[in-house]
Amino acid sequence: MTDTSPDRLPAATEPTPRRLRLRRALRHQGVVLGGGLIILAVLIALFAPLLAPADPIAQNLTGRLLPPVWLDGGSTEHLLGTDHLGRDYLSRLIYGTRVSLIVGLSVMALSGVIGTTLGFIAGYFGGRVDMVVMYIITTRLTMPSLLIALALIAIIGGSLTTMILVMGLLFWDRYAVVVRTATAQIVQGDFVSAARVAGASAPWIIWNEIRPNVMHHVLVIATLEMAMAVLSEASLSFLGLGVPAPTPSWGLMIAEGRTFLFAKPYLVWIPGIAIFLMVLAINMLGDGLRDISQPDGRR
Amino acid sequence: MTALLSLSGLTVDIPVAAGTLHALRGVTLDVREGEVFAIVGESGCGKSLTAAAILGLLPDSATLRAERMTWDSQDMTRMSRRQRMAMSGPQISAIFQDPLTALNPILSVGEQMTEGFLAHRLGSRSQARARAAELLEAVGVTPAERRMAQFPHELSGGLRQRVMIAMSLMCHPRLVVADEPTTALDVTTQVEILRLLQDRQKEAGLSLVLITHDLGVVAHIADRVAVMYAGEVVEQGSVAQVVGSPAHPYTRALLDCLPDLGQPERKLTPIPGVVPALTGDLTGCAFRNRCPHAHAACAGGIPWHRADTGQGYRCVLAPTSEEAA
Amino acid sequence: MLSFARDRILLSVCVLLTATFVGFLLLQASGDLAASLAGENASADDIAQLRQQLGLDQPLLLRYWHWLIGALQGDLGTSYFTREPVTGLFAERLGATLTLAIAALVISVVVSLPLGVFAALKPNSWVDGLLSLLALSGQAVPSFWLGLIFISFFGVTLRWLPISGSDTAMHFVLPSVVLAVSAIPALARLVRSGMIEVLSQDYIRTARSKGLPRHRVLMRHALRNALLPVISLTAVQLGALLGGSVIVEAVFAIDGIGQLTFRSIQRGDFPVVQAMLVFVALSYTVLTLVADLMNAWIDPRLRSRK
Repeated sequence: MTDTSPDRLPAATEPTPRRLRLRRALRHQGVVLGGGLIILAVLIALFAPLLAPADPIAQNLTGRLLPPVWLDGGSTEHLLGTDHLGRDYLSRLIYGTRVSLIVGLSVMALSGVIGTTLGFIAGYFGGRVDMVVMYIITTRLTMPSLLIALALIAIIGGSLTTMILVMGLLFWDRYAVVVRTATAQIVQGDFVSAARVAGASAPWIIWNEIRPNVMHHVLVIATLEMAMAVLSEASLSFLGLGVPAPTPSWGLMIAEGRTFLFAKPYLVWIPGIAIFLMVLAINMLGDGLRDISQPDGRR
Repeated sequence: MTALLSLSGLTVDIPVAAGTLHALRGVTLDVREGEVFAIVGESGCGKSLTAAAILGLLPDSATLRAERMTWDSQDMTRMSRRQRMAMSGPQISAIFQDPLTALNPILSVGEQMTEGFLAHRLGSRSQARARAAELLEAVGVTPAERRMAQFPHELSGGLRQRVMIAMSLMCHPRLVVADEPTTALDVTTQVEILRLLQDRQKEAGLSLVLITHDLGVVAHIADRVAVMYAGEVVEQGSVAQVVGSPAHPYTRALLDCLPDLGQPERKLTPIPGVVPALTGDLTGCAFRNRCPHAHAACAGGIPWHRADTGQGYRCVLAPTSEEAA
Repeated sequence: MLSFARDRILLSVCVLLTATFVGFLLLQASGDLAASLAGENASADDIAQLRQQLGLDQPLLLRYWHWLIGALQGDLGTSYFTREPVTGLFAERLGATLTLAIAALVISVVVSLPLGVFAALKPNSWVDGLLSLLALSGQAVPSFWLGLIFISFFGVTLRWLPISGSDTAMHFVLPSVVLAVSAIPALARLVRSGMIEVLSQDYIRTARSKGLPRHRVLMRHALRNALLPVISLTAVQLGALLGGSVIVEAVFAIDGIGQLTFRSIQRGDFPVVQAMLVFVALSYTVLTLVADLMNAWIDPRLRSRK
């Protein structure tokens, strides 16, 4: 290196990297705010039956399209009003958290397992294996994931499981690309050659030597994928090819409220803001995690 | 003899996470017309930052102050950005350490050679190309026409540094600042490049500020030298004086690391101890924690001794006791 | 350069073939198309007849082969639903979708480039903060929802712009902005991080030491280097914009290929869906190829590497 960099300061005794990272995480606005919102969402999803004032699918045709509490005619009985079938909007919003989180987390996990496995294999073995995996990745990238998801769900029939499976099997590309690059770099390192010389098996080395060193990359990608899964679930449900009708999903709520866009815009605004906040929180957490693992101001 | 470039009490502060880094703390030096002036020191002593200050390439966050900073008797601190930019190339130019990273990978050698010449409107495009070809031939990058069409990654390290040298001469500068021009090269190439640099300097009659950590290089090529430590000049004089009869304990320590000055490729081995942090207030001699002669007075104000011969140094030790020691 | 292009094109063709085959396989194998087409009340005989009529009784590989031969000659089959040639259905609607996607891309680039460059010039300044905020929000907004909000605000409350259809240029303003919002965050961030990285390079210092005007250093030395990954991403984004057109066209009732595809998905009109898959895959392949060639044209190091 050149010595244009400012003079080095005498080294202070520093805590372990892991604790340092944790400390930095807790000082990072994005991580605290994003992580906090996600924890809140998880709590809402877990305790939905306790929090929701009413049954989210119970119809009441005499109390349809009641306005929320802040508008004329609103009442505290239905804080966010009711939809076109007289269902309590707040309760549907609360239960919608469940669909969003289940899809987001499951897709994140399923695609994560597929993508990281492919990435490990390509990065570790290199050569021909790498070429094959790269071919698979390129092929996958060539196929429009949203369109394929739509078409598959249309044929198979929409349900929570179908959606998770279809998206999980489609959204692994970013994991694979990032893990592949990171693994290929680590494989060059001395400790991997040392383990190889010592006779360790490939799975052992990948699990014990490489995995801990790429986890921070995987974590960042995981947040991105979760955000994308939440958005895609909402889009699919909005288009009527997601969760089937009575199930409370935010995307579906927007689709149903769309008919009343001009007269009752809050029916569209409320679930939209919920989606926005959920995705925003996940992305803030992801950005924060990236800042922490790579604190040089790059994004 | 008047100085071409004169710095007096040059300070540079850079804000860092831990406060303010006093990277340069009153650097004083004169560079005369036609001489090779070396600035030598360990990494982090501020020599490259001094070069950056001369070249006007300090980071935006840095604040520069100087009692005097003149170029050919003009006050550089009062120059506008435009005036300063007009100097870069036709007056002062630069050669950097790593010729691989210092050249833009996506522009051809010819484009990079000529762009400064053209930006300063020193002539037409064909004149620029002719000048570039002439200089490339002179530094041994041949055949010049073909080389100009090539890209940096297609040239060897030695060739790239020759291109850098030729490039620095494009606009007929009066001063070239060379920041560790040979450090990134292998040993045999280092000698060639140094010789080339010296030849060019003599032939063009220009001044050369040579930043290096290698006292061997200094002895080989420089006329005068400033030794820097912790952001200040601790000793200054002709090479014969400073290398032959060093006055400052730090200079002596540096020279002690070089058993044989006949071997220019010999590098400095670091002196035991650490350079003090340059954040916060620093009083007294910055070298006292590593100095064999340190005593109570070293924590106070340190005088600048100046001999009639022009050699000067910053130390509490008196000149006579120095020579005795 | 030529051998680079040839190898690259060969690989693209292979990938494209694989992608269309996998797409074909997925659509054909994931359910009984004839059964779903015939409807719930159809008898077993009806379904069998329909299957024969549509050629669905042939082996999968053979069907793919026939389809491929046809596709190479510009015959993408006949719609199950309207009985019209798919190529014609597409050709009629391609213009609207391309207008939408290209307008969105132009908006994205025009917004992202300066925003990213300014943010990179002054990291942690207000411009940089604004970029972070815009990028985070842009990524979090579902485009169908943003579309609805735009319709209710600009179209109904303010009455500035038309809200549905594709008759005039004004009809494309809202939908292309909505699409652009989904592309801007990634682009602007890439410009920013690329510029920050490039600006710290030694050759920028060299350029400055030559006394070049600031804008020359920025444009000629910095931006050109920083653009390389941006060009690649832009190509990928345009592919994604075509895919995203399904949602935006549905919201704004634009009669483009996105809307056509969505309707075809809903009614199991398989040849149309397959055609859209091919179209997006082909666009993606051609665009990434063009991006690679552009990058090789800018960066000589890519040309000499195999």
